[in-house]
Amino acid sequence: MKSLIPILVFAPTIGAILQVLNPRPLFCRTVAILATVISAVTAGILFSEIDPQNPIETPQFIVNWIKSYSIHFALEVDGLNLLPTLATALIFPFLIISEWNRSFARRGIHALLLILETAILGALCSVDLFLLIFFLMMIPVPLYFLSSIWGDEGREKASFRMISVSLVASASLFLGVLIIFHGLEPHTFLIGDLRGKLVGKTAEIFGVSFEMNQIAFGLITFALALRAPIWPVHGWCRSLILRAPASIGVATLLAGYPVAVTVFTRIGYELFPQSVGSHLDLLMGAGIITAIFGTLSLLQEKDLRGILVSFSSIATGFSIIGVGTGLQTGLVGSQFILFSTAVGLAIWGFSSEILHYRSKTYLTEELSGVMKTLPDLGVSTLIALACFVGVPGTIGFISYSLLSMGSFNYHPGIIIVSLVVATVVSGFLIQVFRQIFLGEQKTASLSALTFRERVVLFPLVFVIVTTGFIPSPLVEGVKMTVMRILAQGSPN
Amino acid sequence: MINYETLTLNAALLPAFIVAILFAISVAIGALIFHKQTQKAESILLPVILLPGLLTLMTYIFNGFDSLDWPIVHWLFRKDLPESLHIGFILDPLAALSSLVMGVLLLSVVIRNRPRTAIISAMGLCWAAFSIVATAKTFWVAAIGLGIGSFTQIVPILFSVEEKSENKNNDLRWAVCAKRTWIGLLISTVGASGLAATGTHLDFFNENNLVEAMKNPTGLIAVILLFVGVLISFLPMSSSIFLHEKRSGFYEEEVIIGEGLGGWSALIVLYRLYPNIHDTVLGFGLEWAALLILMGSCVVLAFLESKRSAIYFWLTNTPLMVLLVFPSISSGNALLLIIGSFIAYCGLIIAFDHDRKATDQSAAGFFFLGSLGFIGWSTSGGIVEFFSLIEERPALCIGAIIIWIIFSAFGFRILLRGGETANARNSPAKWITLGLFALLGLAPVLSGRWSGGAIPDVSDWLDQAKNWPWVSGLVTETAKINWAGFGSIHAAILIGGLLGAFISRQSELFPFSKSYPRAGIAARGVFGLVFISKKWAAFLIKPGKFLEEKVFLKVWEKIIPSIVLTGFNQLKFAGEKANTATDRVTSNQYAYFLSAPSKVVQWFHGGNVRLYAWFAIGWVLILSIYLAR
Repeated sequence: MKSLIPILVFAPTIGAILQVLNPRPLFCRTVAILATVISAVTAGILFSEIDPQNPIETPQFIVNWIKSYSIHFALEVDGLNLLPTLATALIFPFLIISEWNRSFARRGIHALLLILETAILGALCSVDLFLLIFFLMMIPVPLYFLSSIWGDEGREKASFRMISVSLVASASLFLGVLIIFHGLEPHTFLIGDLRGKLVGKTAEIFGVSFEMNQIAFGLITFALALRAPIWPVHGWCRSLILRAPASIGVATLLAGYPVAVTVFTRIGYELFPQSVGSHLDLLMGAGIITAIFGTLSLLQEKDLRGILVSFSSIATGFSIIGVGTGLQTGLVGSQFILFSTAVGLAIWGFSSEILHYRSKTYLTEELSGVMKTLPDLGVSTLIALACFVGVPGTIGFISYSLLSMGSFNYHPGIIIVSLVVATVVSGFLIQVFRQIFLGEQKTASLSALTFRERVVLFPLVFVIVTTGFIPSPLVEGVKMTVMRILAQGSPN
Repeated sequence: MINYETLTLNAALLPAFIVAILFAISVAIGALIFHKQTQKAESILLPVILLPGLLTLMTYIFNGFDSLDWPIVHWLFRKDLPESLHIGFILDPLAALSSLVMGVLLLSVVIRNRPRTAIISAMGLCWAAFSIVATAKTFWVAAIGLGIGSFTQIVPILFSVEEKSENKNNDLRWAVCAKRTWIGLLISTVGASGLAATGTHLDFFNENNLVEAMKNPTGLIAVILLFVGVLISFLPMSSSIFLHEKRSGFYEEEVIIGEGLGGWSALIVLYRLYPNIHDTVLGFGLEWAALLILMGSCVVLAFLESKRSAIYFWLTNTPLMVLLVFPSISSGNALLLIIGSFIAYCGLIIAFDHDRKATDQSAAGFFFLGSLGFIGWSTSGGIVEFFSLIEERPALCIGAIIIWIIFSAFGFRILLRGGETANARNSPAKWITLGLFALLGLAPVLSGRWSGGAIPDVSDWLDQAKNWPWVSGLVTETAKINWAGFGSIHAAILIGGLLGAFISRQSELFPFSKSYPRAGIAARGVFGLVFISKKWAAFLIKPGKFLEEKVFLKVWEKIIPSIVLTGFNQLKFAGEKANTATDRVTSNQYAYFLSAPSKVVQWFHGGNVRLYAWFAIGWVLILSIYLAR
């Protein structure tokens, strides 16, 4: 089963290469969708392979890559990356389908999305720090082309800004990882080998000795904060998504906060449990501030893509709060927040694109009464919104329940603030839904959903509802790994 | 091996009922998806959706009302972990009767009004959601039921494009109801999660000492959040903003789908927590909260102009009247009160909007008195027991008497004025349903007593009634009732009736909105969630805009980059200066003496081709000599 992990990660890239070899449109589209479906099916098989009772023996693929520097090609699927991996593998086929009929350079957008999927899945599954940097540095490349080619006015500037920020983040991450590598004998990049060995270690830079916990952890955290992105370093993400089609916006978000929070959880709790433990309040603060800022930003949004960005900020904040609890339920809740919001945001993104395709606008003020002609779109979007605010019967309910349990045990004050945020968000989202979907119809005629559009929306709605009723397999899959890492060096 | 002993009819009834609920959900959703194809089958759609469930319930009732339950199973996390969340179902008299009555009501409304497929599907989903809440054995199952119920609110406006006489303000109604439901659910879920985190599970039939849990700050906050969330479901006054808008369409469906489900479901959840709230600080708090909310509702009701809105609003406040009473009374009377009030409420949904014929008015009056706890109804015993506490809790009871008078006055006024339905929508289904409800709601059937246990020191048991399983379950309860309680409640109803009859002479429904227009606007605004949300939105948007436009865009996105850019420009300027200076040193006036060597260097550097040619020639010579030796 371990050989399935490279298939999960590289099937999309193989699809992209095959597209180059045979540029016929039908072949290209078929290969693109097949590659992503293979990846999604593989993710499902790997999920079924995880034994909740045995957190040690998770599916992993480790071979030497650059032996002399102890660099491994090490990929693993465990409870810490299971849900974001599933969400990514699940959403990308629908991203390909949503771009099925793009008139300009369809093959290019499919190929770039496939490469991006490989980069995201690789970053999520890497358990070797060098490989992690490789995949994290790979992410901005397809994103740059996606946004700079298919975006709106101002796309070049926004794309360049994204690349610049990513370079700063990558440099910071690389420096942090190099400090870890050189600070330990024998040198290694494998997270498994580094586990528990960094406590009390020092690193020397230009003759000055530093606690590795402080300098390496700080650099890595800064890098991931830029990539997530959290407030106030989120400007690049907003400017990029507001100038890109909503589907590319969804891909950008998938490459952002789910990857950054997952990588942070793994590195933080596996390599620097003491540092995480001593900075839990800081994490909570960062989470709360990001969620509050996301909410304030959301309240003035008039662009469908802006709502996508602002809500992702709130989701980032909530997932950081979950990570910051340092408790089992909080960490599991954080993973569930990543999963539920990723699926919900994907539906919102697809709905935005469907509306834009028909009305040529992303502005909420110019849309009204859509429900009259597109009731199925309205219902799908409503379920996604319900998932955002944790209405029972959706996976969002499970996410909020788990997060609340963790936060309550950390400090009830956290939950009060989160609750205020969630309440304001609920009210706003209902108002937005009413503005767009209910009331008098402004646009003359909106054509009914096509079969392809239904295929994009309904399976994701099904996922939200099904996992909302039967969440236990997902919870068990995540919980044991969380318990393992907490047992290794519980920050609380 | 199959254990044949467990395969009794009763053992199969609970699983059968759960399957029937799932069947109802599936058929309702299927009918929604294929609404065009199912249009022809509109007349049989709801019976198809409800029939399996109703048949199961009737079988259960005729088999003797024995409580049937499934053991609680873990849903999230292992059972032995403190944070595990549980699910479980139970079929008991409350669940069976409330689901049955709701089902019969829906059938009657559909037969009479013949609504569209979407409305029928919504009603089917509504019944399923309500039944899930009624059969819930843990809070989490009830929350799922409420969640499903919240989705049904949108269904009536899904396919409104097909309806010519579309209600323009349906979206406003949906928005206020959805806000209340979603926010209420969110807050109560967080509270329940907090309790689970502290090891207190909301398994309704296990011992949950919430009062004990409140002794630590975390538990206290969790319990407060749980009850605040549940109370938000009891806030129909938050919908006041849309009650003033002109609306068309049948009000019965709106009451059931939009409002009724939330309040009665929340009431059932609270009743399931009865051991935690009976005679505790929690129960006391709930009663005061209900009293205050009802006072607010009275203000809203006083300024309503539309009869239909008034009926709608009066009915949606009936669960609050039960909430005001039941935490203080004995469990048997509380159960009777809830079921009796629910039956009266369901009867009023059909009967209240009448066309002023004597028969219709009498039928409505009958159920109206039942909802207020008039003697002869099964609600009477519980309400008299509550008012019998007047000496122990004078403030609460006097407040409740005032509310009872005002509410019954408004109710009488509405009753006497009749509904807005000009043409009589009488149908056999209506009268059969009303007859069934009247029979069920009367004291002898539900409590086995002629007076419903309202008259002190009178044990007027019906012969044989004590042997009924339903009644025998209530016999053990001893209610403390006195003549003060009996007199208070009936005097309140009588005074209310007189006041209602008196003000019915006015031409307007209620005279207040014309006499005090400003107060009317204030009442509409203060309790309207939409109004509040706009105010709050403005309050929140301003700092958000300031943060985004002034702080973020100006400071973070412009000033800081400009500082960095200025720094870079200064460096660039310094570099250019340095370059110019270096150039002067190397080629101009100051270093003239270096020009010759520099020329050599330039010759080598600039004449690479020549240099390489010289090297090549040199090597060719060397090689030639070597080869030629």
